[in-house]
Amino acid sequence: MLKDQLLAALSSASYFLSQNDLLTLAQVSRQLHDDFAIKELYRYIHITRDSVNRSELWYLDGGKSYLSGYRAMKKTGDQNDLFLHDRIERLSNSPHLELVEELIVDDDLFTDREVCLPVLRKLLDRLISLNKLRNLEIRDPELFQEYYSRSLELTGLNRITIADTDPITSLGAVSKLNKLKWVLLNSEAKMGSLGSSTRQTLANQLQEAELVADEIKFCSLNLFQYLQKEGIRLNALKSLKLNYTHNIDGYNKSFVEDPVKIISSVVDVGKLEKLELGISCEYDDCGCMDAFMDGLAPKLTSLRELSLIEKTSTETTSHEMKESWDIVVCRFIIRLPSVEKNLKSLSIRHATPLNGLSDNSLPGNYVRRRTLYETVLPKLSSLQKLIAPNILQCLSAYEYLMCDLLWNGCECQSCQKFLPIFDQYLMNHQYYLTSEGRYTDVIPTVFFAYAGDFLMRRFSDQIDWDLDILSVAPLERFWNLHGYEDLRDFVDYECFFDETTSPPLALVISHFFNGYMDHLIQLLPRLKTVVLSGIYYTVDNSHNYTCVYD
Amino acid sequence: MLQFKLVLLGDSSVGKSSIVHRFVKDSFDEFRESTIGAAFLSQTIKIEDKGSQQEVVIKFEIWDTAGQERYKSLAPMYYRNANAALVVYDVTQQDSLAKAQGWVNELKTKVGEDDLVICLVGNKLDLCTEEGESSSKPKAVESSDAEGYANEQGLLFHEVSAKTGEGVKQVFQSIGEKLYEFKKHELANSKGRQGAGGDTVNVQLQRPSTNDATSCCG
Repeated sequence: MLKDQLLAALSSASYFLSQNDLLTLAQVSRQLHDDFAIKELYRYIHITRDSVNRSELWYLDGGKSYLSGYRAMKKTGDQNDLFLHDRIERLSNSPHLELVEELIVDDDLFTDREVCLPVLRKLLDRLISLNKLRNLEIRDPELFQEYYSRSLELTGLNRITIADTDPITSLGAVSKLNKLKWVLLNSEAKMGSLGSSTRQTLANQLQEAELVADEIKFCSLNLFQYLQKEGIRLNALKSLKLNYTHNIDGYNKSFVEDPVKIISSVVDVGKLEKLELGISCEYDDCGCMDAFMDGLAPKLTSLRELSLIEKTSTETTSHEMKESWDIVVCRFIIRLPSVEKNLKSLSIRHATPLNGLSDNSLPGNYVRRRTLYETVLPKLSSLQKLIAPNILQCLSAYEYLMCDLLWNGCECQSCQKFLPIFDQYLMNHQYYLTSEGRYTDVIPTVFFAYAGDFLMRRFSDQIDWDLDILSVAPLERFWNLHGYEDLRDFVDYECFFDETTSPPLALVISHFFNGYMDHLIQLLPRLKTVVLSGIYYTVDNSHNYTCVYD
Repeated sequence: MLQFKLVLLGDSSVGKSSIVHRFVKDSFDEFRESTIGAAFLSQTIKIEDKGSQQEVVIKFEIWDTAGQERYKSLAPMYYRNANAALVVYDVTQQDSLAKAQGWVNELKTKVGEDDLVICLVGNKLDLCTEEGESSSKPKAVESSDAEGYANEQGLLFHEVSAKTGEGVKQVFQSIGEKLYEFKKHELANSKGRQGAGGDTVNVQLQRPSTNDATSCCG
């Protein structure tokens, strides 16, 4: 009896136990080893190139086991390959493989793919032959294609990814399906008719759908039109990801009709609890995005989690476009029914140029955009999670902010020590400015835009949904402060900047964000978690925030 | 500073990690655990350029590998792009020399003799040097046999004790000197090509005289 209670308690707590905790637990007794720890250790496996950040303060590395490469700040691709290869080899020979229910394989795992991929194939072959997987997510495009047909034959899957509609007839075999990622690779793809079992599965079981077009210039409406034509209504759907893009070179007939009507004919929008919307309109005088958002907002009566992504086909440097996008999405947010009570999670991602250089990035324009968000955010009085995946890239456009960060910023002991070092870095490095066809000095805007991109890589390779950022542990990645747009030191400078400078850089950036956190905790009374460009914060009940990893 | 990748190969428990730790940290652990996968360490040495009489700093990036059979499949990943290999055997274990010879053959086949300095190293000399001591073991591999094999194959050869430190520094010193001899010729050839306008000439990037116009100092 007591044993059962203990196992039940541990089972409930397992989400918060990391694989190191589980290994420790496995050594406590044979019973805990056999009945709990081993099962949990093998249940959910995520293969990543870099090891993950772990913190005793938080739980993001819990609930799954990570198989990763060499945990070192400075490492070569070869060294990382060696460790990851060894770990995958040992897993594929494990007697516990039948316990694996979920497997995520990240993209870009190996430097030497030719030598290392066979070991991954061996693991995948064994797991597929066991047919115990509930979720198989292969993020490597080559392996995904290779295992596409075979993975769809797994009968226990509850989540699948399909491309176009080629394999859709085999969906009937996937009786437990409730999550679907459907990628339209080609807007002209021939859409075959759906079988009756597939229709039934989609209509009655599907709870989460990501209906996206691979090419950014096409939008999800093609898929919705197809489903509408097939007479399918996704009755059980609670989570939806789609993109609505009206791009200059991607105009299609979908826009002739009312997009909200098309989506509503397929999805009961009022039941949606989680929505991730990639959206943009690149036509200056077109009001389609505004009309779409205005039409959609009042119908989202159950929405709890919202992610808005500026999705454009070209690198936008126009301040006007950014500001008008902000205005449209802010209006959308405040028009959501009972937003002050309902909305718990919000993520906003802008499209930003890699080097941050933008037009009209003047202090007054920054203040206008900031004021806009300062007006909207206080209305979200129930918001608990705020995610801005690339806010540093957005802010980097405003050079005066980045100069403040570097030269007039935090005065703590660490920043006083590190900031002059980054000043020295700036004085001795250059990058290739493609638009002008020449090398030029690195300025704070460029440097922090690159840094923002690098920090974002802590999570960006692991997730499809921005709203899922808090479901994966950030990767432990270190930037050697070179490489972006041929970022390099001057030939007469002996450069000692390498991966070891990466943690201090993250630290000074986190101290810069602390200023924003001071405001956010005032604006949002229920705030619990914040992610700003790969810097993670947790907020306690007394409105004190802690930066978790930096 | 010149940097070279050096790998250690050899049968399990011959003392590969102990040799590395003696060289890098000048320490010895009687109860060292078996290496899992690989360990990476680095250490620099100084050698003298006999021509210019100047000191040259050489940095070894040392890949210490697990000797167990189960890691054999990873070996090609270890020794790829290596500049030097220490193939270690245990002077008290006859079999370990045969295993070392197997590694030498593999290296010569897979990497090629021209690109790699191989050093055959007999370890645990301390266990058999003091004759008559109760803790001593008979020397199972005669120095002359191992040295003869090394000479035949064109390998460097040393006998060492990771426990006492005897001969360990000399191993890396001799490898460093031999690598430098190779590298010196390569560097000279490379400089010659640069001077002649060959394809290795780097484009010298001009440092801009002022900041970018968009910077605050512009």
